[in-house]
Amino acid sequence: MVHEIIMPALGMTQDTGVIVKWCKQAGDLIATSDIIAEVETDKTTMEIEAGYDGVVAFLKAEIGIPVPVGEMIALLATTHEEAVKFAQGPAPARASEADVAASCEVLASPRGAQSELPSPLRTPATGPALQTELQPARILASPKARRLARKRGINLQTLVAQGIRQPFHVSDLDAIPSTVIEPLAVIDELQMQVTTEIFDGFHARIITQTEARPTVGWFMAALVAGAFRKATGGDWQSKVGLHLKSFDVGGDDMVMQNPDLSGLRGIREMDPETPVELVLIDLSTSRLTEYRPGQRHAVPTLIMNRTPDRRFFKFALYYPVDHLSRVVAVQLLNNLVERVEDPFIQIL
Amino acid sequence: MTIPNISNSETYLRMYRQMVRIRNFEDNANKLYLTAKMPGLTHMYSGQEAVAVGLCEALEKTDHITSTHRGHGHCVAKGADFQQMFCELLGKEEGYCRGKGGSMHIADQENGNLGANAIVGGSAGIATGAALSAKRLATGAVTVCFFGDGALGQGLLYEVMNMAALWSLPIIYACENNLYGEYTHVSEMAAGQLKTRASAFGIDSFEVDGQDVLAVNDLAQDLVVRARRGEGPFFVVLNTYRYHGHHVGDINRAYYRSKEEEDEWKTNRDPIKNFAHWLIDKKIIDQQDLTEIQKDIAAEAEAAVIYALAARYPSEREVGDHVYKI
Amino acid sequence: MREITLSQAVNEAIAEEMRRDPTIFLLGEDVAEAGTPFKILSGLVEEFGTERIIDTPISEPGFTGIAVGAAMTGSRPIVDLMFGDFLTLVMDQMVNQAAKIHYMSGGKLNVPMVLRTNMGATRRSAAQHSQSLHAWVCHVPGLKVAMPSSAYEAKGLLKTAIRDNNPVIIFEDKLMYQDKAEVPEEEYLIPFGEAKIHRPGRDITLIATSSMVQVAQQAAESLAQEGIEAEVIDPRTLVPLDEGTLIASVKKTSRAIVVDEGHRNYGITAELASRITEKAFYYLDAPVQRLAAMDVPIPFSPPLEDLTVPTPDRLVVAARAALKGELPHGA
Repeated sequence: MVHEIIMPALGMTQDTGVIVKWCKQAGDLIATSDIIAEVETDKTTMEIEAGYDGVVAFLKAEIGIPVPVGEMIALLATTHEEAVKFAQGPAPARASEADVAASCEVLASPRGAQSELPSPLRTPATGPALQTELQPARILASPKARRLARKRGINLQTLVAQGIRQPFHVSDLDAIPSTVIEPLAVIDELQMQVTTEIFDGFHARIITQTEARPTVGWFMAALVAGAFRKATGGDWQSKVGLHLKSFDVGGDDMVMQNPDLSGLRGIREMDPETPVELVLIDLSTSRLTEYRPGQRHAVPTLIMNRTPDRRFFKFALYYPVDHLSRVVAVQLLNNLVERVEDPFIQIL
Repeated sequence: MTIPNISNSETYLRMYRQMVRIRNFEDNANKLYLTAKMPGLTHMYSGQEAVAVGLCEALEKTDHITSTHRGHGHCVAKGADFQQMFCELLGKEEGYCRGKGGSMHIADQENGNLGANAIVGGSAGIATGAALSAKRLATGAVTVCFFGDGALGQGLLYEVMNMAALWSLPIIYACENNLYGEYTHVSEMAAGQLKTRASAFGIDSFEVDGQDVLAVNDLAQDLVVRARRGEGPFFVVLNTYRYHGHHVGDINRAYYRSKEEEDEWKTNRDPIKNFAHWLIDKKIIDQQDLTEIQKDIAAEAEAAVIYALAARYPSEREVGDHVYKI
Repeated sequence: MREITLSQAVNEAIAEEMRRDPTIFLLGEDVAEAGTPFKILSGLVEEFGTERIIDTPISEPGFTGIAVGAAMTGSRPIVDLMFGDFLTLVMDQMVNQAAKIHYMSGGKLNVPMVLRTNMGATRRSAAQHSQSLHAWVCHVPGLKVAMPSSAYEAKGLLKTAIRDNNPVIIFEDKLMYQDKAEVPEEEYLIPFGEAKIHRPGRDITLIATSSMVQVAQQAAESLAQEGIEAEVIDPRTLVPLDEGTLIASVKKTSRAIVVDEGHRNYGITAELASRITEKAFYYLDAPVQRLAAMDVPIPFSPPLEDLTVPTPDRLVVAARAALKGELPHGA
């Protein structure tokens, strides 16, 4: 008959233990009260008693490597023959699994600690399971790896999912292909409607009075940039880069610098060096009814469309919350509504 | 008692004044402590004035002393100023040690006081080292190492007396036997004769009535001269008595000494009272002038206390200063 | 450049300083004609006489106390404490007196003295002559502590110590007395509080004191053959400590092992490891490891004694584990 020695649960918040020392080697005779190993937990170092007389068959856990609570760390056999049979661990016994199952007794007996353990933990078989349920395992990573992961937008869960051994180090991060780098940004969404009547009238007049003949999109971009500048507290010197896109073939697709300040004449001037702080997507010239930017959008994105009766503009603002606060986002939309309802504000 | 030498009148009166100053200082310190105006621990020197004054009056300003936890008397006798002393006792910025030492660590380097020491016998090494310095650098300075009978239990004392004897250092080991080491009588702590401890090293040893300032001073004058000539070290047992308990607050003392014993010393063996009688008796001064001296000193002490109470504490910025000398 | 032993370096430092400053004298057991059991001081008494090279009785507290008093009154004494283990005997004089006098006197008095003593096991001297007790005094504000790692350091640090206006304790590893190193003929001082980078490296920082610098150097050699570049740093003085150099190195390498021959419990390695985690935590890619004397009294039996001290092999194993991410997390 073989006995499993398992990693004991020595504390309420412990999910792993580390063998710091094997006190017996495979093949050694061992008595019930002999110490088989020293285990280090988050609290202390404990000695583990064999609990059975017999022969050490197999030492499974490696020194220094965290072993989840409840996992087998060693096998004890009753006789030398049996020890040889199980010298490679329980695997050879798979053929006679019933044998193992029938004869295996799970055992964990940290010296002196048993009486102090709360009752659910005292039954070793249920202890570890309970632990896992109550407490999702904390991901172990070096402080530097954790800091860099945050910086690079790497979710450490990705490394867990790949089965990379913990604790994670910087080298583990370096091995992660860029595809697993995901933004951690949380995207918020705000929607708003505003009447088109004044805006359209104004736009129609401008078209007749200027040679630039700005599209609705350009004109809106000017208002959006103005609203953005005001909402973010920017002055006339700060640069607002806006990317205007329409999904029509041949439609607008340009990066504009300060479209609110440059006048409708210069609005087409593109400055690729200007960082884009806002994306304006104009769906109003297409038959599209809705568009949601993907989770990886790191820049606030405003979707603009008309209602089917064309009486209202519909705006949806998607923004990463660590990029724009909700207060500023709401402010942006409020400012925009004012401007759409009365484009003179913009000119003033 | 000593035959008065009228040309020494000034010296006698200065010794009287210094003893009264010590008593006054201690009375005020005691009061400050009991009225909770003074923090910490303190140990009164009252009753032992003749020892400090008799010895220190034989010293120059450039001579050194090391002192004990019961050290206010030594400090005053070596020339310290009331104001800076009270400031130190109250932990004030203008104290001798900027408030960092307190009652048990007053040092007044300008007057040659290398500091009180709160480790019993702890200054024996320092005193002997000062004497070695003086000898090596040929400064001519003599060091007086004050310690109580309690320090006779410390091994350090014997180690340094041995070396002082081997190297003929200019030092006087002044053992103030006030009969009690903390709450225990000297007879329960020191076997054999006190004086012979030093004789064993071949050190010239003496025993003197520590309540008789003239006797102490006569002996001290002689030993200081001899020490300067390179005939040291010397060891003196000065028999004396402390009027208060081991520390302020040691009030119920009957279990280690009787009220009668205390009264006997205070009434019949008070060094100040007896010296006053002698001064009047020898017509060096009259009662009226003595009373004037007492009043002046009382006023000086009172003014210093008022000053110290109102004085500033050190700035918090100073807490990290003086850990190392730059 | 010429090479001299650590013992000669100490002797030279003392002689040069004594020639320069007549207030310096040296005292201790068998320092004059005997020149100490290690023969470090041989020849000094011939030059300076018994007035300045003073043989004392076997009274460590006594002569240390005398040095404190002498230092307070115009002298600059150097105390020779024959074995570092005897530090226990002089603790009151060093800790309650020397360390505190400047502070307790509000800056009026100071104690410019040097206590030279030694440390280090594996000389088969057993438990009372093999200890490395420098952590004890590092704990006490008011004392400075220097740990020379070679003849060069021993001379430069000792000369600085003698000129310092505070009590300084120097621990020389007694196994290094006959070790030679390049020491310039011309005069030099090594300022306190300046660590020395003995070997630059990018992968792991090995902070080592005294003879452990040699251990770290040897380990670094082996590691280099595996492609691991270790940076070896010697703080040289533990008080004051050049924290900046240590932290900057760890920020660069992200890994550190502290090696010191004092006991591990509550010792120098603990202090330095703690400072690293306080000041470079977010740069660490592995737990800071400590190699120190085993927490047992030093045994006499050679095979047992050899187990108690850090060795290059053990350091290599520790460094390798840190590099491979094989260290158990936390404790």
